[in-house]
Amino acid sequence: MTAGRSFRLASGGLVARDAPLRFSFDGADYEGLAGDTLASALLANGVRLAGRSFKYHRPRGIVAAGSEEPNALVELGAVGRREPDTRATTAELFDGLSARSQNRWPSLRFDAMAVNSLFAPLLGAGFYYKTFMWPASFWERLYEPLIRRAAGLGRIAEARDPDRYETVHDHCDVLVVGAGPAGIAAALAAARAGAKTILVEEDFVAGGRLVADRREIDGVGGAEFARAAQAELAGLPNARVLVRTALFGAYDHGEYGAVERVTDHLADPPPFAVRQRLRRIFAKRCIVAAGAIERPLPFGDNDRPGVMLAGAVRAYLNRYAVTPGTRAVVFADNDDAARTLADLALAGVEVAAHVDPRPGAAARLTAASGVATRAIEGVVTRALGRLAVTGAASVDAAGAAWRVDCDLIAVSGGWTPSAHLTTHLGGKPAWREDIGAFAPGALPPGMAVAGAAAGDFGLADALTGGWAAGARAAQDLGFAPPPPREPKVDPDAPARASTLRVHPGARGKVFVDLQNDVTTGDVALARREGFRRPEHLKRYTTLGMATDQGKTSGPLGLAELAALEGREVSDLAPTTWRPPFTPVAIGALAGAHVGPDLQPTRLPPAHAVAVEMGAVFVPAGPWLRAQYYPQGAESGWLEAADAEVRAVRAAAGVCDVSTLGKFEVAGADAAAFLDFAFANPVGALAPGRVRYGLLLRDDGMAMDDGTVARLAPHRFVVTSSSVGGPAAHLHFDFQRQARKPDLDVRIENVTSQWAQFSVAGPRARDAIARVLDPAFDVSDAAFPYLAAGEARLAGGEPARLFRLSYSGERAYEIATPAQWGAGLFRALVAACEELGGRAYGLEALNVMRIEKGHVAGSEIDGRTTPRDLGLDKFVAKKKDFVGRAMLSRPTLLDPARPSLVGLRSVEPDARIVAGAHLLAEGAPFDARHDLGHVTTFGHSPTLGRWIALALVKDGAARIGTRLRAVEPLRGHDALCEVVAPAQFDPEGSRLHG
Amino acid sequence: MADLALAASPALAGHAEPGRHGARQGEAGVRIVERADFALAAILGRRGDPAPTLAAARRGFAIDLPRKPRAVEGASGSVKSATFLWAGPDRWLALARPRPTGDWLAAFHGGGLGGPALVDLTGGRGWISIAGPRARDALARLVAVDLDPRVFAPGDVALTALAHMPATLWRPEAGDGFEALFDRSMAGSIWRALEHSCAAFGMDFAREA
Repeated sequence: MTAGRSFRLASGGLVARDAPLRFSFDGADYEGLAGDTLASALLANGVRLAGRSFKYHRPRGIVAAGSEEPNALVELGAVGRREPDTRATTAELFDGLSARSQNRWPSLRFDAMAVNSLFAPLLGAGFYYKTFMWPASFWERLYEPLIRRAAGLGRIAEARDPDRYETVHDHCDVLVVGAGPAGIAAALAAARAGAKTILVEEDFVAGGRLVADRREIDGVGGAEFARAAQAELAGLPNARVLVRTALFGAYDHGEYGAVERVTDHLADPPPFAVRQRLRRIFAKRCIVAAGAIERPLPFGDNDRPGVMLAGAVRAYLNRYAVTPGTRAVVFADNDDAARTLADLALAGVEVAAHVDPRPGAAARLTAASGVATRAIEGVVTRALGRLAVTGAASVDAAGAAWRVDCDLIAVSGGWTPSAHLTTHLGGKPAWREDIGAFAPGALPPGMAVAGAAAGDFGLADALTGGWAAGARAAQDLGFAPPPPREPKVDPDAPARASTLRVHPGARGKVFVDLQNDVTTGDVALARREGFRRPEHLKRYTTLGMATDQGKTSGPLGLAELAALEGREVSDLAPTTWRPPFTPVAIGALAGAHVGPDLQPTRLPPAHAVAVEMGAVFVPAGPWLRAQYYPQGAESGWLEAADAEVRAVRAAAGVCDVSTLGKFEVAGADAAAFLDFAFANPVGALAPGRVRYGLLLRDDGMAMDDGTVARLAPHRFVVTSSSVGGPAAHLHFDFQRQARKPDLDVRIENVTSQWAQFSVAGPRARDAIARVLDPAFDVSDAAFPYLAAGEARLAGGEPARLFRLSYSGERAYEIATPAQWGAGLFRALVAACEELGGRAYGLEALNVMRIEKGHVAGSEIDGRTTPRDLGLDKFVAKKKDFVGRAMLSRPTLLDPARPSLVGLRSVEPDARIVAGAHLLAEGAPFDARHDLGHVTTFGHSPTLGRWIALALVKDGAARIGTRLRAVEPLRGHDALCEVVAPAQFDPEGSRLHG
Repeated sequence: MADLALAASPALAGHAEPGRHGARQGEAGVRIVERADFALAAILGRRGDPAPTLAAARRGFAIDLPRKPRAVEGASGSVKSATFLWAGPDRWLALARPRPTGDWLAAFHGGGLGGPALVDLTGGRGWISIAGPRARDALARLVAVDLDPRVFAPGDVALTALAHMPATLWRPEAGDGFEALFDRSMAGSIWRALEHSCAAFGMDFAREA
């Protein structure tokens, strides 16, 4: 066993040896260094077993050194900060970090679920679809919970996330993605030319392969070159380098999404610091220099801990000064192997063998690197060992089998350009025969690609290509480009990628996708079952899904499928890469918009007064409105609303209706315009009068209703419902711009400008008179029902008065500009209370409108016509208006359509509830016998019953009959009497009383 | 009748307490001042026929109303300082601070049926100024507009959204700060968005008398 020993080299690396950091993994304490990732720190401590696999619970180690890691997914944090599926290879070490392995029980070394491996034949591709088909009754109760428990990695946090997040908008001329050699060169060229430049890097250190390999540029080491460039850019006023910032998506019109890990790496974040920051970057040009991802190679048990990508091995050696093994086999099919051999030897790691299938390559590269090792022209057929690699079995060109003891197998199948961002807007990668890989194809506007992402794997090409891309982007934008640069670098051995097949001598499972436990056998099975295209293969086998999205497995899967199909890889289309490139926390996407700030809340001007009065609020669209104002011993909504209704019917009540949509409509043709916009004739209204207004959609359905008041010959004030205000505004503006562009009409949304209160009840006039300028005559002669006019309040503030009633009582709506709204409401509440009344909320309002049979949003639900709602008497016969043509469709005239009726409970205490279905007495409760539904309900203290409105088939014909209102979810079943919608004072005598 | 006069509430009253918010060390990175004493009206011209409105502005305030998203400052006999913001096709917002007495936009009346229509919006909007060394950084957390001084210059106006809530943002000619109008009904949500975006920089909030 390796744990307990240090695998840290005595010198080298970008780690701070004077800054030791304590951390724990699965409860055991370890020490790492500042500059480590969790992965490098684990390897430095000899911990190579990092997790269990998704399906078979096989032991897994660390495969990569970057965000492409498929295996080493751990859980960080606790309670609300618990974050599953964190790649150990990107988690920056900090003092006190505590990580846990996932998907194992009871422990990582002994995982009971590994028994799944024994049932592997049953768990092949598509097993869910085959195994859990029947009986259907098991789907919800048994199969789904079972699958959910077994599937997935990690556990999601169940407590509320305690951290802060934010969104920032960035704007730049040139956005460079990736601070490897190409990205650094591009950013330097663009920034030196004067372009506003942002260089983003997902890692916490800039440099890319410059810090993972031993490179030299113009006589300077690669890491030093990267550091100097970063410092230069940081010193320029027009450039920024954002490390720890992963660019995850390219969107329309030059918008890019990035997530910055601001304090994830800090043991003790400063106050008010956000944990992560979503950056919406708007860039005129974008240069993708995202590098390339190394390919694994397919052989038996190629998932054993200790099988590692060769480039990652070099990163651990060079950047972290950590040896991921003591005795290595290098298995590669490209000339990059020379670097791996040399770096291993330099670090003192014994190289047991170098295996390369290409004729003569192993001997040539071994000789060139000067490393004393056994060169085998052949392939590795199987990794030996279970919890860790203990050896490699290989077969040479002559067919001889070799068995080499080792604890590390460094593999390389070449590199695939990281073309993801180039495809987010629909681009398709194109096959490049010269590099044996798919590379970016047609690019979206404003995007360029440089370096390894463009398939230029050599360092010199990356630097010159990056520089040229940066210069070109700056020049495009009108900046004078800097002269070309030709840096001198140490010699390159560009690595052409292979499509190496599995050797027939391979034994054990050959994994294509480590994260999803997809093997070559699964690919073959899926193909046999007809899933022969990469996209189908992906859906059937899950190859390329989950957190790594096939970064390492994609090329292997394509190669395997191509071979089975007898086609070239170039003939297949890779699966589509969509955003995000790497996982993004939901918290980062939400930013500040969580909890009560999920969306804006609108408050009426007198909200604070209602709060003082102890009101209970209810959301109405974006508005928060008072539902009721409990007083004294009133214990809840029912008692309070009963008392409020009684107060209005007996004396006077005041209700805040400031939330109504309000629109000022002016202009020479305002009347003509409103006549077109509303279904009823409103243009003929006399100045000083107000009336009901009904809005229809083009399809003839009712859209909203409100009032239209004519204050002056060419000035109207229109209201809509509260929730429907924004839609009404859109509707008016659309009609103005598109349908009636020649009319002179000006529309201003004044919803927030006016505080408005309904004062209702037999004493309403007395209440209103107490707040108005005494000079204003509110006598019935001067201000009759449906009068409207401008007035002043007692203190001289401007006001508008409308004699409208929703409750059926004598009522007024009084409005004043919002800054005085709180004061006016206070005054009105006081006036009503002095008269024996009180404030009333939405609940009482609703009860009274049901008593009167007035419709609202629960009836105007987008499926009802004026006829259904009993409003056809309002619809104009002579004029044209929105919705007129479609109103006469036969289907809308069908007498059997559900229409509006009133309901009242036969037993006083039998509650009718909204959503209840209506059935004839004695009819079975099934859809065939469903006659309609209850739209709204309330308790009428006036009638001493539960009352409701409902939409019922043949509604008018059922008046006088009885129906059952059944709501089985909450167990309500009430026998009720069908009545005309207006149950109380149908003659409207109280309006004038 | 003076004792019956109602107290006017500024939009952020009850939501924002004057004083220091967020980080407390050092100078506040952002200074927000609520303008509490102002008048605001929409000037609505006839569609496609701006001439009567432009003429009225020239007559009353000796200014050319902007035809693109710009702010123009002007004065008249009774109004010392007024700002006119382009606010959409054939639409402008007129602001005066402190709130003038009387009919301060009288120049826009009397144009007959084709002349501009005025709609008072004083109560419907809140008005804040946002300044300080980190004002741009704080605003970058709220609006998607590029606020680089080379892009959003003094006098520029943006009809935009503050944290997804409708807002009119502009830069006055003097100073390096920003002015913003927002919907009064959303004042609470606006304030929480301001607090959140300024927290790390420290914010001083004050209300003008």
